[in-house]
Amino acid sequence: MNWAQKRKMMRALNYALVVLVTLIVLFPVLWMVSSSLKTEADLFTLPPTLLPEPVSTEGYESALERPTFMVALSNSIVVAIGSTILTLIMTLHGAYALARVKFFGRDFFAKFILCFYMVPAILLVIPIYLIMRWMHLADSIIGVMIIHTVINIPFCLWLLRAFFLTVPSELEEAAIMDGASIIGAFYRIIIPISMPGVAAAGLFSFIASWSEFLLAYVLVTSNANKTLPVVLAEEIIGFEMRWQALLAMGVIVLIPIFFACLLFSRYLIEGLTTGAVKA
Amino acid sequence: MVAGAVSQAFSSRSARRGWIGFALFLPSLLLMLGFLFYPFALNVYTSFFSKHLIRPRNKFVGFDNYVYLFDRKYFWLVIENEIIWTVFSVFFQVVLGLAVALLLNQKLRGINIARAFVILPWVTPVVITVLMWKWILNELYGIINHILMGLGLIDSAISFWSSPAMAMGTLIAINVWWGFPFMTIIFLAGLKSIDPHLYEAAKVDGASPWQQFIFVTLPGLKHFIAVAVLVRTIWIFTFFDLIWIATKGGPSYHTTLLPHLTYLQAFQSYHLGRAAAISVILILCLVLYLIVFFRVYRHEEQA
Repeated sequence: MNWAQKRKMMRALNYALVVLVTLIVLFPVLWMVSSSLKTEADLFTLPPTLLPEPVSTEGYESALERPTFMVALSNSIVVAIGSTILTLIMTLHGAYALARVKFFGRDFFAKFILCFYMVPAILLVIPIYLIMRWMHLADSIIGVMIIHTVINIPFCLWLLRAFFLTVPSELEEAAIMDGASIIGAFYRIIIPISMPGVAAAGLFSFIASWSEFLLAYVLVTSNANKTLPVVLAEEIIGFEMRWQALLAMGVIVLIPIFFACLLFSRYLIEGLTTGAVKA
Repeated sequence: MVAGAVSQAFSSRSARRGWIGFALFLPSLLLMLGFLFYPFALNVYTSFFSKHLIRPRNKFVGFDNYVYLFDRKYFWLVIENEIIWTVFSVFFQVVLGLAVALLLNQKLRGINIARAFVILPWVTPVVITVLMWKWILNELYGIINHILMGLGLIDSAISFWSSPAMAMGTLIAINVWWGFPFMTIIFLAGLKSIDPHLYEAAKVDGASPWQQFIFVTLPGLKHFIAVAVLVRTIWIFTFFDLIWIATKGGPSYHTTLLPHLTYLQAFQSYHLGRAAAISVILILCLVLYLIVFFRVYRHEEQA
């Protein structure tokens, strides 16, 4: 075997290895998707078949007929979108101030944002529950939305500040010279330029809120206000797992995240890397 | 005169900018102080009181809550669980994260697609992670048991949640699957930052791929590994969701961590003082960890 052939072989092996590792990593997800499309009888047949044969939507039908699930689905959509919008409104302005405007204590705040980000949720659960109860927001989706906004603020502030710092300040100075206000310059110049950062921050907020379990679990007690992770967790913790519907629900919960993630994977990786490396 | 007027105009403008800046930042700051800093302080305060979640009982008891916990046998079991859970999870996440990062760092066509797919476990909600692993590991219908039996590795199906050691091992494995992509992403960024000339120089000196890894890759990644370990240790040590949804801390406290103990004391025993005391112990553990970590890290930097 000559050198070129050997090189080709190595390349093929390498490809095979990458594909194999990717498949192994994704196996639990693929298996859930495949299982969720089986008929109830096929789901519990031994030996299990790799692909659903015939493809059945029974699981999805029974998931969508479940009132608790449908309520949770709409709650989760409202909470995730609402808290993402709130987070972006807050942090776009806050981060711009941190990056550009000098004010008392700014550098101190900029440093301590990350400490806030590192505070584990479990330490906050009880006090937050008490505060929310005191504000009569404990068992409401508004309360959950506010709390998700709060826990997303530190990271997004910090991510967006890093993005704004990379925008040359001559751009706004020129606009301000031309008579634009600081705020005007921010809206018309900085935000459009920083779109990748805004997308990353929005994506983070959405995924974090969509997946958040502990705070929603503690705050919400009535079925009408539960979010998807809470409803699913209760089903899993419960005595009898109704696998077919549960697997279908799992796929439904994953779909928006996986699409967002694949579409924006570059931003996500970029954001994560800035998030962790510069810490 | 003119110069003075201009500078005056500028300074009044910068004073106004200062106010605007503060006003823009204020909402975020208030929310963070109200919901992040205040709770934190409240925890420390409450830990010295006997306080009930629903009844209006509130009595100063000094260190009684702490003493109560230290007297419980399960408290020390929980500390042991914490150490096993955190050390093994972090270790295997780093090893697997690094291996996959090295694999995905190659220049191959379409490698970006593989990178995008490999980070998917990390964005999968924990609830769904537990759901799909419970299905795969199901004693009767799980594909893992089926494969292992088909290969003749085991005679009868494994019950992954029954014994304490088995349950902890299974949980760590799930946690590694869920968390390693985070490491991979950090390490991919780290690998990009290593000067390619170093590898060329090493090759000229006749270094084998393994030697290149030991003497070029690992030192180049040192800072990234340190940051990743630091961040992940804190998260994994305080990780509530995965274990709670999978085992609720069972069998009988054998997979319980400090966060679960906090939850149980607060929302099942309604004993807020004790729950707050556990939180404070948890904070102290983290502070201790940070001190040791930075000592060692600084020492390494100087060496």
